[in-house]
Amino acid sequence: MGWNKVAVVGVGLIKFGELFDMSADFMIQEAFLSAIGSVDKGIKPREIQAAWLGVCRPTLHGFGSVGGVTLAGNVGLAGIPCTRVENGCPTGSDTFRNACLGVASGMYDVVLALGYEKMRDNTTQGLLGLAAQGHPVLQRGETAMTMFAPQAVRHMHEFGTTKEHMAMVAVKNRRNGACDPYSHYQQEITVDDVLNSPMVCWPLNLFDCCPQTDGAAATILCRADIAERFTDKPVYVAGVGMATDVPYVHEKESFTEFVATVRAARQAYEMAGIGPRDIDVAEVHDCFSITEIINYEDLGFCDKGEGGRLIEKGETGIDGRIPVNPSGGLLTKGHPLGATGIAQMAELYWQLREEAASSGGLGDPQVNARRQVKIGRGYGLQHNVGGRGISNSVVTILTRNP
Amino acid sequence: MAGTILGYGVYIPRYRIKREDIARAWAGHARGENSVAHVNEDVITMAVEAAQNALESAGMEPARIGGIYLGTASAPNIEQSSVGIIGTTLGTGPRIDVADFGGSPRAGTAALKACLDAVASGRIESGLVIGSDLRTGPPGSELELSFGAGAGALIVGRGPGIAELEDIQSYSTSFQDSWRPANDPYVRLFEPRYSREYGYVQHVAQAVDGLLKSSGSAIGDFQHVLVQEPDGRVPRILVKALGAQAQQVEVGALFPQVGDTGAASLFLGLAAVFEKAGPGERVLAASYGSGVSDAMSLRVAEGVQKGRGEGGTLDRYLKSKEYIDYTTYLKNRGILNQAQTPSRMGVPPMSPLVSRESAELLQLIGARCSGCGYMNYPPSERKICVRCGNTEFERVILPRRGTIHTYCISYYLPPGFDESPLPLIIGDLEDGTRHRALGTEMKPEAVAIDNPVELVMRRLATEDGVSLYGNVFRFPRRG
Repeated sequence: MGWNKVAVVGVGLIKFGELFDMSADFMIQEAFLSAIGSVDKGIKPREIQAAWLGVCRPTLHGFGSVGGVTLAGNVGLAGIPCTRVENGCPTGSDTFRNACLGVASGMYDVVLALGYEKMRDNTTQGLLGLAAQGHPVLQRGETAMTMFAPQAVRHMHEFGTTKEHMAMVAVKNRRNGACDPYSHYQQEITVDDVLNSPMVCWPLNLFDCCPQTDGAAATILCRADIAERFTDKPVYVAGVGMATDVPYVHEKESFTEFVATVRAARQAYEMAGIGPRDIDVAEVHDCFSITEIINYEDLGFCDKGEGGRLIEKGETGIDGRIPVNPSGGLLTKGHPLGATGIAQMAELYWQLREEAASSGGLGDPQVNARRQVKIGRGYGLQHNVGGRGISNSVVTILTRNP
Repeated sequence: MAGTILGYGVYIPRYRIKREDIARAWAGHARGENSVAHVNEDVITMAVEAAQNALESAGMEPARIGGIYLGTASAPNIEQSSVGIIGTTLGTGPRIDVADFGGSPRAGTAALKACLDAVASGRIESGLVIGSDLRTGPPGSELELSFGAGAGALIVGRGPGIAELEDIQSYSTSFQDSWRPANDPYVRLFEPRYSREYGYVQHVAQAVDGLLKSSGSAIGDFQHVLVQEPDGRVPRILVKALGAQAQQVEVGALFPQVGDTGAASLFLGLAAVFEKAGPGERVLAASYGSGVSDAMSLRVAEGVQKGRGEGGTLDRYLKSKEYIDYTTYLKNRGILNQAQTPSRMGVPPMSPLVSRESAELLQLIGARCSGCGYMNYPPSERKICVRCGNTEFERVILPRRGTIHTYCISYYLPPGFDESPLPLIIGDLEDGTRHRALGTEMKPEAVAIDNPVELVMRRLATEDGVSLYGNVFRFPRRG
C-alpha cells in the first residue's frame, strides 16, 4: 500500500539554535556526518550518487547564490551531481521531494537530501528585511508576521478562535521541545507567558512566533528494494504532495485556509492510499501558532473552523488522538528554512521507528522518551507551507509499513 | 483675461499641532494650531487629493483635463517635476500641458495665470491648477510656529461654473524677505515685522490698487477679500491698508486653524468662500511671495450652489483632525530621524519596474478577465488570468472605497518604516476586488473587520532622494 518506491535509511541533524560559533559550511558537514553515522548497517559516503541541497536565503549569511557545490564540494563528494532547491518555507521538504524523484526515476539508487539555513550571521532584522525585498509597492511592509497574522484575525472573526487557543499551541510545542535535544528552546512556558510576551504583529505576540535559528539536517534515501542493505527498519515514502497557489496575497480567495496545503495534502493522501485518520504523528509547519491551528483543518485532522477546539481539547498533545509536532515544531525547535522540512523527516523517522528516546544519540534518553508517540497505523505526516504568497506547500507521508 | 472656475477642491492633513506645544519647547507663547503633513505626505500627495476633490466638484473626467499647473514653494525635489506623477495618478492622459511653478508661495497664482492664459488662448479647453505647500521653519523660529500644510485645486475653463475670473493684476519688486537655499530644508526669514509691513502689505496693496483701477471697482464692491495668510496679523493690517471692513476678510481667514499654507492658502480661502457665498457676490483675492503679489477679482456664479456640502469639503477636512505632540511633528517633518540606516528596497524608486507599473498602481487600474470575471491586478503582471487562465481582459478603474476583510498591525519593522504601529489591510473594494495595502493614520484599536476604508496616494518610501508613491488605506475623511 502506498507509493513506497523510496526508503529513508539514515537521518542526521545538528542541534538547532543561535550557532554563533559555527559556519554554514561546518553546519552542513556536521549534519552530513550525523546522517552517515546513523545508517544501521553503515554506508560509505561514496555510495551516494547524487545530492540535493536546500537553502532558502543564503543572502542572510552573505552569499548571493550558493548552488549545489556548496553541499557536494563541502562533504567530500565533489564530482557527483547536486542541485540546490529554493521554495520558500517548504525548501527543505521540497529538497527531499526532489531527491525522491531522482531515486524513483531510476536514475540513482542512493541519494542525499540536505538542508541548512544560517540565519544568525545577520541581525534579527535581517529577516525583517523581507519587508524591503518583495514588490516595492504591492508587498511594501511585508514581514513573515504580516503574511500570517491576517489569517489569524480572520480565523478569530469567523470561527471564534482565540488568542488563548493560539497560546495553547505555543505551550504544547514548548513542552514537546523541552524533550527534544535538538530544539532551539528547551524551556516550557505558560499561556500567560505567551499572552504577556511583547506584541510583535497583532494578533501575534512574540511567543506566537518561531525564533530565528541556525540549523542543518540531512536524510539518506535509496530505492525501497535495496533498503535492507542499509537497515532492517527502513521508513518508506508512502506519498508526497507539492502544490501551489496564487503569487500575491490580494489574489487569495480565503484568509482562513492555505489552499496550497489542502491541495498538497490531497495529493499525498491519495498517493499513500490513506486518510487523515490513519496518521499516528504529524510534524507540521507552525511558523506561528495560528498556522498550526489552520494546518489542523487544512490537513483534515478536524473540520473547518474547529482547529481552536482541537488544541483546547488536547487532541494534538503527545498522548492525544493526533499528536502534532512532538519535536516542538518550528515554534520551539526553530525554523532554519532549508533545514526545517528535512528535520521534520528526521523526527518522523525516529517516531515511526519508536526511537525518540535515543534521538540519534543526543540528549537524555529518559527525557527524550517523553515525546515518543504511540505508533498504531504506522504513518507519519510532514508538512510545510510558505514562500511567496504562502503559496507553496509540501506534504509528505512516511510509513514503516512495507 | 476671462475664465470660469468649474470646480474646486481642498486637502488638509489630518494631523494638527497646537502652536503652544511648539512654543513650549522653546519657552515661548503662541495661540491657534497648524495642520501638519503626515510622515508619508508631501506636496504631491496633498495635491493629488485636492485635485481629485476638484475634479469631483466639477463633475469632470480626468481625461478631459488639458493641462496641469502646480504652484509650490516646497516641491520634494529641486530638479524633478512633480506634475507628471500627479497627472499619472489622476489619470489625465499624457497629451496635456504641464508646468511646475515655484520660487515662493506666490507660485499658486502664477500657476493659475498660466492656466487662464492657456484657456483664454484656446490652447486648452480646461485646466487643473493646484497650490500645495508644506514648508518647514527652523526649529525654534517664528516660522515654525506659523507654517501649516495643505493643498487647494481649481478646475478652470469656459462657460457657466462656480465663479467668473474677471481680472488679474500683478505687482513685483526686488524685495527680499524670506528665502530657502537649495540644500536647506528650512525657510529663513529676515525679520517678521519688516516682511509683514514692507512685503505683504505694501505689495498686496499695490496689486489691489492696480486691480481696482483696471476694473473700475472700489474695495467696497467686494463681499469677500482674501489674502494669503502668513500669520494672523496680515489680514487685519491689510483691511486697514485697503480701507476694507473686517467682515470682508472673515470667511476666508483660516490661519488660526491651519497656519500658513503657502501656495495653498489663497485656494483654501476661495473654497471657504465658495462653500458659503451666493451667486453674484464678488471676491477679491491676492497672493504674495518674495516681492510679488497677484490680485484678482471673481464673481460668484449660479453653479456655486450645485453639489455644495458634498464630498471632501473644506469644512469636513477642518473638522476631521487629531492632535500630535511636538516629537511626532519633528519626526513627521524629517527633523528628528532614526539613526539607523533604512533597509534598502529590493529595487529603488527609480527602477524601470516602478515606471512600468506606476500608472496602473497609482490610478488603480485592474484587468477584469473576460472569462471568469476575476479582477487581475496589476494588469502589467497578468497576461494570463490568475484564476482561470484566460488571456482576454477589460481594463477597469477600481473603486477607492471598500471595507476591511482582514488586517494585521506591525509593531516591529526594519528601519525605513516611519509609521509605527503600522497596519496592513486586506480590503474588499466596492466592486468586490480584494486589495492589499498598508494602512495610515489609523489607531490600532480602531482597525476592525468590516470598517470602511478608502485608498489614498501616499509616499511609501524615499531612497537617494527619490520617492516611491502608492496607495494606502485610511479611514474615510471626505463624507
